[in-house]
Amino acid sequence: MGITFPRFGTSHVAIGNLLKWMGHDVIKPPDITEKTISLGTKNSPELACFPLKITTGSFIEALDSGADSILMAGGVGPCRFGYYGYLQKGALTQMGYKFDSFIIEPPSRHPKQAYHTIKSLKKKTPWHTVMKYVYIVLTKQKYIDKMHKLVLETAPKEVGEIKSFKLFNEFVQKVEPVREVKSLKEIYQHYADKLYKFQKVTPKVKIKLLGEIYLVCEPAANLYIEKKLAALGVEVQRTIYLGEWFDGHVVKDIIPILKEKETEKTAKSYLSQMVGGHGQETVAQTVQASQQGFDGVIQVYPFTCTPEILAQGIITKVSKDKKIPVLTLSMDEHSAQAGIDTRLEAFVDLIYQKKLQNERGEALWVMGS
Amino acid sequence: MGNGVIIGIDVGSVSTNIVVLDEKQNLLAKEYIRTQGKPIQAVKKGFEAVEKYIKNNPVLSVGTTGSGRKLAAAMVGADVVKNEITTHAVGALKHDKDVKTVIEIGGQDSKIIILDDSIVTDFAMNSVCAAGTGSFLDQQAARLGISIEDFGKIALESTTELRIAGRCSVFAESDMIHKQQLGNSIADILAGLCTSLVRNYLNNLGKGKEIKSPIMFQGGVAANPGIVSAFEKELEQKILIPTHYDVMGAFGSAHLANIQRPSKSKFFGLEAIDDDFTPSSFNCSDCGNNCEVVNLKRNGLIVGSWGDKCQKYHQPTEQQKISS
Repeated sequence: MGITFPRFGTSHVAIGNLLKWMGHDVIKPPDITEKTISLGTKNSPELACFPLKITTGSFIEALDSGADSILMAGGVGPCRFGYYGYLQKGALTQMGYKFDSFIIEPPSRHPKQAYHTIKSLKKKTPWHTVMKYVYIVLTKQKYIDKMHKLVLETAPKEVGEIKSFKLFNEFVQKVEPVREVKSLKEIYQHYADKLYKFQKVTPKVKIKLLGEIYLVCEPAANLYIEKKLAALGVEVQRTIYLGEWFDGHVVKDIIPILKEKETEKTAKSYLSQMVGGHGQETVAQTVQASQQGFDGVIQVYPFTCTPEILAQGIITKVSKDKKIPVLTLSMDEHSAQAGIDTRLEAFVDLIYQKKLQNERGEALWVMGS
Repeated sequence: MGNGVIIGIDVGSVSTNIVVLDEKQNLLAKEYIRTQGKPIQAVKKGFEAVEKYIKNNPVLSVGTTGSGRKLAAAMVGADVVKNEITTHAVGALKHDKDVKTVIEIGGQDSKIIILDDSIVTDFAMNSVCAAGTGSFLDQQAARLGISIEDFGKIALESTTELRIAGRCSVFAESDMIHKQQLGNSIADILAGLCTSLVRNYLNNLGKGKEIKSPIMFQGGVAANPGIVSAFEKELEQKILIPTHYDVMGAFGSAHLANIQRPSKSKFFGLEAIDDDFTPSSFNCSDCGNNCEVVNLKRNGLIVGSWGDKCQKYHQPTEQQKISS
């Protein structure tokens, strides 16, 4: 008995906390494994995108381990994500599962539905207590994100076996039960000190990781690309963090005056229109990457994702205009590990050569194995 | 004791190549061996063939590349393990430092590499589709009872332009059969296939890239004059074919190994290659990933492991240090 929700990066900590504190039994979505992916693929339409397959798979695993309700986000706009909750509800019901479904629509666009769903989810918790909980879990998410940013900085500087990511997982487990902001800060400091001790060598290159939100944030979906790049000596900066995303898309969407027009302005000369998902952001962030001193950009997206395919065509042009190398990886359940490794290594080689030539006027092939 | 040698090994899905250079980067030997699904045997065969060049000379550096680069590195003790894009680029640059475009069609992979001022600025590699690769040509030649060596020559005899559906090799095959039944000549059909393979390559890999000359064509398929002529027609430019076109990956890998020559090579020695290498695999069931882990054993001792997502079975690898 319990409520479950999709696995998505580290968000399970904040969402799990909130539901638990409001009086729910929570069945946390399990780690995404090959089994999750094959269950999801088997029970989803072939051409549906990878995030749908993964989340369907994780719902099945959670239902099998006793979940009796599912919480999912809704959505509006050209991306198909908005339909996923309803589609999954139908598919899982057809498979014989019995469960309650909660789909939260964006509060700014569908205030009534959003209000009713949240109201039934909060049970008897008073609204002001809910607000307090939301504040704590958001703060927690921001500390987790902050720690992740630090990990991406320290991992490529390590020599030998990379330990930063392991410490990050430990940190996430440590903060999970915490309910006071003060202890969050203390635990953060403790782990940050440990991470700083790793710093030894200077990373070779700096790459911005962007694209579709699920593929960027969920390591099991992008084949642990951040770890792989760190092992190649690459400092990665991820463009999307869940805490910031919540501020930018949920809070600021309700209060339009807070909404920044930066993305639209930057992307304007290349793409003047919202194309769904993060298509416009991908274009804007590629333009920005060239101004912020990044050596390259890696775009990840699920195979068949329309907004990102549109953006891909455009960032090829940005790449040429702004002279910034771009590598695109479109991924699905077939994505072959070895092929991705070869491309990543070749891309890093390419960038490093270019950098050496610009800095020293010579292109030395001095990279290790 | 003779002068030192440098070795480059490219273990691909269809062929395994080995190149031996002397200290002054002159090519002493090159071998092209069919992998036939047995990379370990292919590497052993390769070393047998070049043995006399290595026997009395100290090995200064060894490079491996190709999809089997890790396996080969664990077998022989390599100093430089590099992806095939980088090594093919190095190989092409060693042949002609002005090269701007490298077309590489191998057995299972095809690549395009764009260079500017001697550095790689862009590349693409085919992913799941094999419609533009050597093994498809091999299969079709075999089906028609033509040796792959004669394929290109016959295609050049064509007088009529035939259009073969090239989007997918399965479509191409049924289209070829259809054209055969209509009575088209073999020469025209083969020429049509060459053109469709080239179009498929340019559409798949060349899209959005500026293909500037000098254009170099390497990989086993470069031996096929039908494909070369189809490329020249489509691109309206002359195509260069380097002398060692069939072993450019190994050639580049050897040059890379030479550039990054270590003070002492990790090479295990010729005798070690005769050791008993046995790969074995098992399914780890510690989590839902159920990874198929492959262990490479040398005389019963594990010398390398692959395939685990969590890296539980990984030996710690040496982190590349930056020589600055």
